Formats: sequence, C-alpha cells, structure tokens
Amino acid sequence: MWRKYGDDLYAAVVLAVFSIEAVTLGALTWIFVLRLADDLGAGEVGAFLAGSLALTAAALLVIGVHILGYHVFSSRRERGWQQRLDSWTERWVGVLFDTELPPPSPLPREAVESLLDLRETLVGTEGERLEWLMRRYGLAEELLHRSRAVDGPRPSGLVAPVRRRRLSSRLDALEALAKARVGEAIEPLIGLLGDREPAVRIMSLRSLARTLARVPEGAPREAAAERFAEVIVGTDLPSGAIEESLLLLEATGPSVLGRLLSAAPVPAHGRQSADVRLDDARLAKVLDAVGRLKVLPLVDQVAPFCGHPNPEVRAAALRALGMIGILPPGTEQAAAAALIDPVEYVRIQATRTASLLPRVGAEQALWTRLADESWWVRRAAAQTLLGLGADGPSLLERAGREHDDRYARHMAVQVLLDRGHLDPARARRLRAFA
Amino acid sequence: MTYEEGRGPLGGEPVSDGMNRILVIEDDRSVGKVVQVSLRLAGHDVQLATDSPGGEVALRRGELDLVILDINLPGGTGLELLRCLRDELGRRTPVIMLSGQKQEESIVQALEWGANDYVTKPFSPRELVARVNRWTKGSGHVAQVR
Repeated sequence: MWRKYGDDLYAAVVLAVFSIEAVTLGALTWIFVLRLADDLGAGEVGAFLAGSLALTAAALLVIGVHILGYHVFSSRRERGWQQRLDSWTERWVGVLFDTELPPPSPLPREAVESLLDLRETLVGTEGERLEWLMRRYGLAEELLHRSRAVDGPRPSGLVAPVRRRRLSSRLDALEALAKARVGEAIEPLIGLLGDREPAVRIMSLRSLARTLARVPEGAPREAAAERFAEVIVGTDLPSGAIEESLLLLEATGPSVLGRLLSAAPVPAHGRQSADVRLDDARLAKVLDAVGRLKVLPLVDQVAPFCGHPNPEVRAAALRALGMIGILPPGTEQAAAAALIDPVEYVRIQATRTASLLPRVGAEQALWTRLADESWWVRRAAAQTLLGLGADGPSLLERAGREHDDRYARHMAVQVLLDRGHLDPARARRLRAFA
Repeated sequence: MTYEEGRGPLGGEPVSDGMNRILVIEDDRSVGKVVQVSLRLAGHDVQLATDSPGGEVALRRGELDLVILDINLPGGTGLELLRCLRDELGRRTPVIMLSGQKQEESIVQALEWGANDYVTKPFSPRELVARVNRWTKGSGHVAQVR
C-alpha cells in the first residue's frame, strides 16, 4: 500500500529532510574547524550543536508523521474506493436485471472499473448487455485514446518521470481494454504492437489475446485467429510473451495454434511456408502451448516436429504429445529414436513420453533409460516406470533389485521411497542389494 | 471472517420462509453480488460468505438447500469446505462449484469429492440460475429470472 499513491510527495519530503541535514552537517563541520582554529568560543559551538540536534529531531519527526499520516490516509482512501466500487457494482447489477436505469454520462472512474470487472466475469445475455453498455458510454474509444502515445520525441532526463506516468496510464488503459474485450479494439491493438515502448507492445499483445478469447464461434473467430497468427509470425516480441498470449486465447487458441503450426517449416516433409516463417524459438513455444492447452486435434501436426533438427523444438514436440497423452500412429519410431538423443533435455522428454509407446516397448525403453548417464533422465525413467499402470510399483521395485546398473537400482529405490511406495526399512534392504 | 445474513432482493425486505436457502461462498465481490441478485430475483433466499472460515460457519449453522462454492478462497479452499460438508457434517446438500479453474483435472477432482455440478467463470447468470433450479427442484418455490 505504501507505494500506491503519493510517491511525489514522499520524494519531496525525503529530499527536503536530507537537504536540511546535509546543510546542517556542512555548517557543523565548518563550526568545528573554526573552533579548532580558536576562532570560535565553546559556548557558541555548544549552541550551534544544540540547534543542529533540534533540527535533526524535527526532520525525523516530519518524515515519521508523513509516514504515519500516509498510512491513515491511504487506508481511508482504499476503504472509500472499495465502498464506491461495491455500490457501483450493485447499481450495474440492477441495470443488468432491469431494476435500475443506466446512469447518465460521464461515468466516474469507479463506475468504469466495476463495469469492467463485471464484463470480465459474465458471459451470455448479461455479458452482451455489458458490451452494449460499454458501447453506449464510448468506453472502448476512451480506453483506446488513453492507450495511444502522445506524439513527439522520446523524453529524457527530468522529463522521464512524467513520461513514465504517461506510460503507466497507457498500461492501465491496455489492462482495462483486456477486461472490456470489445471487438473494435482488435485492429488498434495490433497497431500498438509496433509501439516504441516494449512494455506497451507486450501489454497490447496480452490485451489482444484476451479480447480474441471472447470472439464468437464461427467466421468471426476464424478471421480473428488468422489475423492473430499473422501477428505472431510478424512480431519481434520475446517468445515468452508470445507463449503467454497463446495461453490467454482460450477457445480461440486451437485455431491460432493450428495456423501457426501450418506456417512452420517441417524438415522431414521438406515443407516450407509460402511467405511466412516461424522461427525455432517461437515454434517451440507454440508446441508448448499446444501441450498446455491439450489441443488434441493438433497431435498429427505436432508429431513431425519430434524429428526437428533443433533440439528445443524436438523436446517441445515430445513434451506436447506427453501432455496431451497421445502418440499418433507412425510417431513411435521418432519417439523411440529420441530416447537416445545426444541432447539431455530431449532424452528427458522422450523418456516421459515413452509411457505412450506400446506396453512392452515402453517397459524395455524405460528399463534401458534407467541406466542413462544423466541423473535427470534416470529420474524421469523411474517416475514414468512407476506410472505404468497398476504394476508400475512392482516393476520399479524389480528394477531396484535386479537392474544391471548400480545407479539405476539406486534411482529406482529412491523414487519408490519418495513417492511413498516403500518404507525406510524396506528401502534400506533394497539398497543393500543396490 | 465475512458472512452476510440473507436479505430481500437488492437489500429490500427480509425474505419469507418457504424459499430455497442457498449459500454462496465467493470472495470476488462482483461475482458474489451478481449471483446473489440473480438468485434472489429467481425467488431464492441467498446468504453470502466471502471467505473460507465464514463459509464454514455458515455451512455448520443450519439446513441449506444448495451451496455455490468458489475454489480459491481466502483462508482455505472450496474443496476443503466441500470435504467438510460431505465427510465431517455428512450432508448431501447439492453443491455447485463456481470457479475460474477450467482444467479438466480441477473439474474431475471437484466432482469426485462430491460436487454435483461445476460452472466455470466467466459464467452466464441465467445458466447458473437454471442449474440451481434444477438441483433445488421440489424443495421450494422457484421463479424464472427476469
């Protein structure tokens, strides 16, 4: 709460207090120099010293009173804000259920905030009514206006704090647009992806994704998905921000992800996209999003990337298939080949996906991976073996007793112990074997 | 701990007996208010609790016809309250989960732990009222919303 309001006043108080202290200490030093040179009497020095101490005490008192006063003030302000927000929420709910008339324009801030909160929460008839209310009050235009930069050169030096304030207001407007989820914001938000402020570009992408998440099913959603896929291919934003936006797409996600996978070159098939290309870092994030959103219809499009030359893409494809829980026909060979991949993190993902191989093949593969040179692969193999149906624990216990590799036996016992399948005494007996 | 006793629609006269008593445990004020108003307009007696301890007090207090339960609550989770209702209090009161968690695992877990229905946010108040009416059918007078 401390930093929410009043940064400027706090900075001014601290500056004043420190300035007074600096001047006092400087004067005190000079007084002592004069005293050493016998130009000043002891009484005068004592009087000045007492004055300095009084000034320091007063300065500390000012800063202390400011801090305490701030807490009292901000608590009251927060409470008041919350009460006004609640009363507006109640009023809007009354409007939604026809027990109250819509309030006249212009709306106060808390009315806009509560309207946006409701818009975030409701769909169906009431959601559509909220969208209509937002149009009626021109909220989308107002927020879009606030989200745009003021033309002119990039400010620097003393003007920079003012610029930051404008930036925070723009970011607030973009967050509000994300809550509003109005279709007319889509193109202006795409325009903001080329903004000179990186924070605005990222926030615009996020708002765009959240807006697209509520686009109605059918032709509008398909058109929006096409546009978003073009944006993702063309943008220079970090791949982490891109993945976050893909995950925010909700129901529009599968259409966008399908288009992005079609735009990616698949080396095994020699297929290259016509005019757009998704680089490997973004392709890996797209594959990860497919897995996280569990987009089952895209497994056939994911599978070819298990043999991609870039290890990050191979690992992401295997992880996506593992999360979805399906290995499409014809992918078994690529998945089995990935078990002996030279890159450790690809082997880890391949080991986790091995549970999707036919049962006998899965057991053999995991038994072998238990002896992998990497601790992480051995651990993944033990955990996957444990999860192989009802007899997983007994299989792993057998590995703990009979595996040829000492490290494999150790890992099997350790995972059984960690997952509560062994008591410490039994683990000790097995370790004696290991 | 926050627990608000039932009042009439939009803060009006106290509700009369014979209505379905519904407890809404929801920390989001906007959601709580919408659910409260839409259910009252549909003829139900609604109590609102905004955190887990308040919800538990309301659950233990008396007979309820239905509970609407959020999963993420201050001071505990909706699933813990569900377990308390089913195992500790041994009640079969219908429970509708109302949560922003859309993952299959969350839905399956809630249903396995004894929830009767699961509605994800953002939600349609009309749909929620229809589901409430379905679960409370026969236990009180129910009107259509609007």
